[in-house]
Amino acid sequence: MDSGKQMPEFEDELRRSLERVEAPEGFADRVMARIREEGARAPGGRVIPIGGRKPSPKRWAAAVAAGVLLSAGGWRYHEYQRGVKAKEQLLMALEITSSKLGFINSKVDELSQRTIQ
Amino acid sequence: MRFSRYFHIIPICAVLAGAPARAQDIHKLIDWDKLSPKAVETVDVTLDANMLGMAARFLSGEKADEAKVKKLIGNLKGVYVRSLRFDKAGEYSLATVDAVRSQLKTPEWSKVVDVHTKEENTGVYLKTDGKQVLGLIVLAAEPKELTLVNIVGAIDPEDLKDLGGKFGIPNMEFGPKPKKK
Repeated sequence: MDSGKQMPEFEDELRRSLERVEAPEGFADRVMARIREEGARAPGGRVIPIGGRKPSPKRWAAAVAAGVLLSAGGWRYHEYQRGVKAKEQLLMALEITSSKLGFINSKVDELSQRTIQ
Repeated sequence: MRFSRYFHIIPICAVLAGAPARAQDIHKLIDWDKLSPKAVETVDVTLDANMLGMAARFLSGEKADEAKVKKLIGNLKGVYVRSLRFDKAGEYSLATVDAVRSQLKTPEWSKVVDVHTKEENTGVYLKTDGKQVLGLIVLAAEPKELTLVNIVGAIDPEDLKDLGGKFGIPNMEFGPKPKKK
C-alpha cells in the first residue's frame, strides 16, 4: 500500500523537525542582556519595566504628588465637615443659652412686676 | 521618722481635693453619663478653642447675623452645653445641682440671677476679674429638664442680646426695661 510506504518517511521528517537544536553559544546571555538593556515591549508600545528596573523619578514624583493631593483633599473635606458641624453646634449652644437667659429674664420681670404691684 | 518626709504632701493633696473645678470642667461635675439613659432628649455641645476657631471660619463676616456671632466667639475659649429632657419629673436629684452651685461659691464667680420657684431652680453666674466677664454659667434645673451652659472666655452678655431674633434665638432684654411714658 502507498500509505504504508509513506508513513515511515513522514515520521522521519517529523522527527527531524522536532529534533532538539542547540542554541548558538552565548545566545541566552545575549538575550538576557538585551532584556535588561531595553525592557520588554508590550503590544501597545508601552515599556514594562522588568527585572528590578526602577521607575523613572518623574513617575515617582507623579505618584507622590497624586498621593499628596488625595491626602490633602481628604483632609480638607474632613476639616470642612468638622467646621460645618462646629458651626451647627455653636448656633445650637447659643440658642439654648439665649432661651434659658430669656426664660430667666421673663421670670425676673414677672417677679419685679409683682413687687411693684 | 522616715514617713515624716512625706507629711508635707498631705496638705497639698487636701488642697487639691477641695480645689474648685476649672471653669472648663464645671460641666463635668454632673454625672451626665448616669443621667443620660433616663432622658428622652439629650444635647451635648463641646466646643473648645480649636473647634470655636473652626466654627468661626465657617461664619461669614459679610452676613450681619453671622458677623455678630463671629465677634461674640472671638474671645471665647470654650462653649459647653449639656441638656437633658426627661419624660417625667424626679429623674435627677437636687444634690446634683447643689454640687455645681457649691463649686461656684468662690470669689471669682458671682451669682447674677437666681430664680427659685416650686418648679424651677435656675441661676446665672458670671466669672469676672473685676473689669470684664471671663465666663458665664447658666444652670437651669426644671422638673423635666436639666441644663448646664458653660461659656469660658471673655464675653459680653450684651452681645448675646444682639443675637436675639436670629438663628432661632429669642429676643432678650437684660437689666431694667425703660419705663413707658
